[in-house]
Amino acid sequence: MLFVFGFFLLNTRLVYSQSSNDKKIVKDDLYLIDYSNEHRLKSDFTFSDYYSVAIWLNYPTYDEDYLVNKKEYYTNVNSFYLSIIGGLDEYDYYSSSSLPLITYSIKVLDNEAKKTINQLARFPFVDCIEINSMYNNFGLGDDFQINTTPPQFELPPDGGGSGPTTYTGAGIKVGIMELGYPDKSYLDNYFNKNINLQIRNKAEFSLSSHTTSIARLILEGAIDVSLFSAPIGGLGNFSIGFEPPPVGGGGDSNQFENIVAGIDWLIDNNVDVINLSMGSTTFSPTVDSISKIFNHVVYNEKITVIAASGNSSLEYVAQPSLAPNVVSIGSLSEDNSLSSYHSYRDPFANLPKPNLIDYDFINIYGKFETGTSCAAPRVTSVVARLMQRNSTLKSNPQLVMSLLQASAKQDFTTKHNLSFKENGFEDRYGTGRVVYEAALSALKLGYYSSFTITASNSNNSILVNKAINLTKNNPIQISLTALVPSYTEAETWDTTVISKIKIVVKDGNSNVVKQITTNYSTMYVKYTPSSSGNYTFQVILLDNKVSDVNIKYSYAYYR
Amino acid sequence: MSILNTVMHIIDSKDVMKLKKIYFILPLLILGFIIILIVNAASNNQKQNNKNDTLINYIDYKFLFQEHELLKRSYYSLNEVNYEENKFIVYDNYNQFQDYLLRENYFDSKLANDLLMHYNEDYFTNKSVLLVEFPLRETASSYKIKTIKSDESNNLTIVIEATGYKQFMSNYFNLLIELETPLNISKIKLEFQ
Repeated sequence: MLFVFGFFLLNTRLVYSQSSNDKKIVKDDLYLIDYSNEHRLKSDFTFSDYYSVAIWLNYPTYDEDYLVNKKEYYTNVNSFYLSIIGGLDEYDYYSSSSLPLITYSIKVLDNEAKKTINQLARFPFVDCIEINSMYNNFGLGDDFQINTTPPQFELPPDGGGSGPTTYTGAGIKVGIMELGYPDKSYLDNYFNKNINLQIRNKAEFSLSSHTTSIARLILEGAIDVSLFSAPIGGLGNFSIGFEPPPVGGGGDSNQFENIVAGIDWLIDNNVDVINLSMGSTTFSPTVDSISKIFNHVVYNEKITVIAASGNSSLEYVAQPSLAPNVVSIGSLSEDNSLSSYHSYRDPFANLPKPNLIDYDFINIYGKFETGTSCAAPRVTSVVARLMQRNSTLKSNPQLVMSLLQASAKQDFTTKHNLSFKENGFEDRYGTGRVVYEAALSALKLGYYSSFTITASNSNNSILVNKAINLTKNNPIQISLTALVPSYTEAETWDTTVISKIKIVVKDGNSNVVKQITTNYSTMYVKYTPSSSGNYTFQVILLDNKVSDVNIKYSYAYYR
Repeated sequence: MSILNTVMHIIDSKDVMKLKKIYFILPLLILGFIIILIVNAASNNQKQNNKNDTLINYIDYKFLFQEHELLKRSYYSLNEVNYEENKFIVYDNYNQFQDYLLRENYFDSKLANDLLMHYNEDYFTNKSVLLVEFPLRETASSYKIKTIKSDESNNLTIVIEATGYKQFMSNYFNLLIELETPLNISKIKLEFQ
């Protein structure tokens, strides 16, 4: 009897969801990504309609069981929801073991298929459904050519438009940690220039397109930088021809040693910024060594580290990108929309990541490739050019972070429901897209400064009081950042010494028009005035946590 | 007071409100109980399925991936591929496999030659090759096959261990698995650990 009653309730719930506000699940979140209008293929290629349907589920992901047994958790819950959907062959639907995601494929998006999708969207546990239309072009039996002309990244003039390009990264040393060394002859030929590149050790694996892509993207943005390449090895048991593994020891056993030695080498060479388009996405409930090391490098050596957030399809942000002192970069697709796959969650829930996003594609060796690997070096090149303009940035990674964040733009499309965190960051894109011209403008106009919090600073003291003139509908963006202390390479950073701070924007009558309070190490405020006039922004110390080690903060603003 | 007002008064009384709470909580408890039962049933069903799986023996395997000097696949972009899908084929004779190797602009010539030398006519007298093609958003430093199993419906599951640091750029893989006997395969699922 109870069972009958229970099933009645379950059915009632489903019917209710169809006739209530839950309809929004269908109306707002069901969307179609259709590539079929982009004409990337030869005209004589006959393609078949082919769609993948991704069903994103909305069950919680932050409980302790999830952190410890992620794989088992997803496997069980996805299986459970599959059983509710009911009557489906396991192999018709693919249940992810690492994401709240079930997918299946359909040949034709006909009315029957649409009806099924709409039925699925009405399940209360379905967050949204993505339908991707794409060509069935995996290469087995298909005979076609890609005729793609993706947009190329170009060195933007300093002031945008067609103005002069003064800053090209000259005198700035950029470290790159990669699997193999960049092919210098390719780079020399591509840029028709003798590229300044030094290599720590020559990997036996002579060429990596990934490494070359990273070097090329940095040079496209800042042609005159000096590159320092520290290969980490790896590519162990890929079969490259039928020769022995290319790197001594093979595989990943010596990768970590190479990273440590490579960092030492980069520090010895006084690099100003390090690009990381690699990392670890193997989940563990603890911060891994690579994150600890790079956080310490930023704090102790004052080297800016730019790292890709990872491509794990809305999975946790990669290590070391999650370290608070590392600038984490998510990605934008070539159609100016937020990529559907960049990693964005911090597994430890203490810091918002990524900090920023940028475009993530490259056309190299005749192929179009994508990933946050390509977004990070674009930001690295921007940082190099800004450092050339103002050498203060070289020894103040926290100012670099604030400057990039304050000058970021949100001029792209997104399909998710925006969710802003306590420190003003949006959940998936942080503060927005990196804009070189805007950052340079803020730098030239002196829209930045620094201060230090010591143990003697009293609570509720005003640390910054800045008068500014704003014009109607032109927003002001403010970002404040401190480096989180990291006392040794082996220790996790210490967030307990980061104070609670409030940023307040006041109008001419001293009315508070915007405020944000956080104890995160970096924060962001955006305010769009409804009328022109004099305004003030203040940074107020609410709860001083500093004891022995003074904490330096840098802020920047852009309007 | 009308009968209707009397009824409304009774419904609004505190005692009835308590009853309302019970009516609200009870269905939730029952629903939770049902969910637990279904989860257990699904879990047991899965375990039962696992018991029927057959481990597949293989001789060796090779991961080829899209790189400038390796798997070229230069006519193909990674922009349009479906990252949730794989394609596969079993080659049980030399002529068929040559078709694979002769794909235009697909292999570096040295790699194609190495493959041709290894998978020669002698090889196919008593062995076959399972080719699985798949894209990934990230490329780990190392991939190893842990197990290959098949269920009663010839659905193959290949469990792959990915280790080492990853590069965060998409890549395309050809996995060549050397088999003693050709397999009848309906679908392939790749599980990455």
